Amino acid sequence: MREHITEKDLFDFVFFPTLLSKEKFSYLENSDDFKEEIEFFIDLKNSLQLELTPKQKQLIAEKIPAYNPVSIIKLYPVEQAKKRKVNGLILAAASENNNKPTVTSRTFYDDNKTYIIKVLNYENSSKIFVFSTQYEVIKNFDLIISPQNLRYHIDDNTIPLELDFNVNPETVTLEFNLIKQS
Amino acid sequence: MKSGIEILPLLQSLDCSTSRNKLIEVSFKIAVHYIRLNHRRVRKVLLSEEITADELALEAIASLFGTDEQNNFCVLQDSLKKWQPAVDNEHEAQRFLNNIIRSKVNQHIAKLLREADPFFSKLLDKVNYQIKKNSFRKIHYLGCVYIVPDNSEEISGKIIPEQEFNQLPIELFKYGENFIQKIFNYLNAETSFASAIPLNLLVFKLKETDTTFFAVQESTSAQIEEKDMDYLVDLAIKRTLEKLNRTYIQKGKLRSNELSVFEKTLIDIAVDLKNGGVNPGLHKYFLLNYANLTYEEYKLRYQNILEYLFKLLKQYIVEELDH
Repeated sequence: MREHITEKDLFDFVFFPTLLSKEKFSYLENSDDFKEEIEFFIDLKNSLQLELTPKQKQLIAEKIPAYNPVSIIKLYPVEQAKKRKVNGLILAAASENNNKPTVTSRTFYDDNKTYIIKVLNYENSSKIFVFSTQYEVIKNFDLIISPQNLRYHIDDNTIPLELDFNVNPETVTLEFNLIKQS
Repeated sequence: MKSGIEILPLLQSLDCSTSRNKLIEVSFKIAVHYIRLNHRRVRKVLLSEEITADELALEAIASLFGTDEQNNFCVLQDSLKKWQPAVDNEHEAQRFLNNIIRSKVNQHIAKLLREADPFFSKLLDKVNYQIKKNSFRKIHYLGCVYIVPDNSEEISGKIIPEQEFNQLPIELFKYGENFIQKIFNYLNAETSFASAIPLNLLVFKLKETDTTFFAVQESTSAQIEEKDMDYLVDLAIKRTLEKLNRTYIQKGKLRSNELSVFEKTLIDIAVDLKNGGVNPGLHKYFLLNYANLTYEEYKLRYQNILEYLFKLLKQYIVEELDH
């Protein structure tokens, strides 16, 4: 069997074992003849699963202009707090307001609660505030409102995004370019 | 796909920036892996050029991701179209990417080895000539190039490991008309390894064992002047120093004590060139021969001159080899 084993067989043994004939699979599984070659492909397979470091990504971007990685963070709406009740009575402060409020707000968090987005809808306009729970100024990112897929570029989060219409996002996505532009 | 990363969807959506980024990242990882497989051979190149394996990997694959006016990966997409069988399943997509990256890495390593070592370059040309003349073929296998007989489509069986290849009888590594066939014959008759000769290892072995190699002429055996490697290097050093003298000393750009430092430095560099390649950073050779000189002073005053002379030295060695 040894003299019939090709590089493709070794590749398949590691990446696509079901494509290999039973005889070859059994031989490779039970023999040490191609141990080093198989280890090479196993290491390759493992290396594909490793995350690149920011430094490596930076290096790739320097050498390959087409490479432009982004970090995508999705934020979901926080469930509305239930109206507070005391002994079955709805408190006045939490009671229904018969007049339609002039301002409504919704809050969005990401899974790690690193970012908070507050969407304020006024009568015919809206403001979107982006906050970081790390108390940092967030710079140079895109904000995408779904499902309408409205994309806005924001230089930094010190001032809110102002729109001359109401928005009702299901989710909001923040996209950061990981590579510093020179 | 068992590696967790599916290549086919990436190849099928090359107009999507996420796919493009992911494909470049995966290709980079594969390239680094193949560079590391060849680490022993490229170590000196990495050190002398003062670049990392990551940088080398990127240099090797960057051309694959060059774009045309429509922002297409023209080189990659062209290769994809030509690939047989067509890339229409994950298995073939994996093989395509793996093979094309491996091939790019090998080409780049060969190029660097040629640039770093004029002897390697010349020997490789001669071995390639023999391969072509005898209708042998070259096949990639696990990150290396192998010479195989003309009827081989792929390599089957166990490849001879480096250590065992280096222990083959020394008389097999005497350059001549049939020397490659003799190695095939030996592998077939005396070993249980496949008929496949590692190309770069063969060149290194020839360089190491056949010191009169450069005296052999292709077409004539009569009245050949026996020129060995030392003689050729001495000629190249002499020409480089003459150039140094004409360009810098006679014009008063350097003093005679500085000439002496350059002479000693070039001789040290040439010795290492003969023995496989120069060591990390040319400045170290220079500083060894110039007591109390700082690296900053070297950069300011001597770096450009030494780099220029080093290029000349390699060029003159190549020219002497061609004579």
